[in-house]
Formats: sequence, C-alpha cells, structure tokens
Amino acid sequence: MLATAIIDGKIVKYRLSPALTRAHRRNAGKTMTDAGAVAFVEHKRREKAVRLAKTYLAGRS
Amino acid sequence: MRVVLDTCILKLATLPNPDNPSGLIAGLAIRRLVDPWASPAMLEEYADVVGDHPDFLSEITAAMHMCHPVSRLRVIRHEPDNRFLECGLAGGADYLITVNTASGHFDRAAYDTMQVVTPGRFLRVTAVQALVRKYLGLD
Repeated sequence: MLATAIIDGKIVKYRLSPALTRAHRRNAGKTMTDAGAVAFVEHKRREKAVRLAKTYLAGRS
Repeated sequence: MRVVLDTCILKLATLPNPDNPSGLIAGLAIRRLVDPWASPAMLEEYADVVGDHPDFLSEITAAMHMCHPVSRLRVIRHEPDNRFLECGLAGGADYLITVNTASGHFDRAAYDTMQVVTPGRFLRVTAVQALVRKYLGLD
C-alpha cells in the first residue's frame, strides 16, 4: 500500500511496510491531527497512572 | 543517524492521514535506514498506545536499539516526557522526533547535542533526504 507525505511542498508517495499496511487498512477512513495524537498519548498515560494508583491503593487496604 | 521517536509519532504512523510524514519515518526505522533508540519505559508506553496494532509494534520495536538510562532526569516540566530525554541522551541520539513542542513538553530546540524536530522538519534535513531517496528506491 502506498502512503503520501508532503515534503517541502512536494508530494512523496512511499510504500508502507506490511504491518503498517495492515494498520492503515484497519484505520481506513480515520485521520488524526498532531494535537489529537498528543491528546491520545496523554489519555493513555492518565489511564496507566490511574491503573497503577488503584493497584497501589488496593495493596494498602 | 540515531533518533528517538516520541510515542505520538508511532500513533500517527498507523493512521492513513493524507499527509503522513510519521509513516515515512517509521518506514525508515523499520528498514534500519535510521537507528531508533528506546528504553524499557518507552517500550511500555509504545505498547500502551499502539498495542492495538501488534504487528506494527513488533516490527518497529524489533528495529530499535535498547538503552537503559541510569539517571532519572527532571528537565521537562511534563514528567513522562523525561523518559524520552533520558534515552536520547544516554543513547547519543542526534534527533528527538515529536509533534509535541508545546511549552512544558519538548519546548527546546535541542537538549545537549540532541535536536528536537517535528516529522516534517526531520524529513527536510539534507542527510535524511538522502535516506528517503534510498527508501523510495530513487538512488
């Protein structure tokens, strides 16, 4: 599968690895902005912090 | 060329955005045209964020050089970002690639000799353009 990147105003088409091709197929129709990706990672970090805090608190009770 | 990939780069690589420089960077890493470095803490976060694409996770992490930073830094205000800094500085990375250059995150142009760049800016580096041409089979 080919993907595109715009470098210095030029459209560059490049071939995705087999695993990335599968990921793109699964995510077909979805897009995400840079800010969206940052928010997604932060959400995952918060989820993990909550998970660890719960485990810690459960161990103390 | 040693690089550290912020987790959001991997997330963006999995999405079919019309302009996807992160996917190209992931391709360069998978083909080992750049040397990505990671620490155990970073791998854990990669798994949390792109674990729903296990093939990609395994493909990209297989290309990574491992480093085990011995010091814990507190340079960046947003604490989790320091794990990437620790790895980059311990591994002697040339570039940290991120889209998160907001205040309190990777808000400096460089940390020691490691430059902070966005995916688009990284792909405009002359040495990287030579690698991209190789990746595209133009050389």
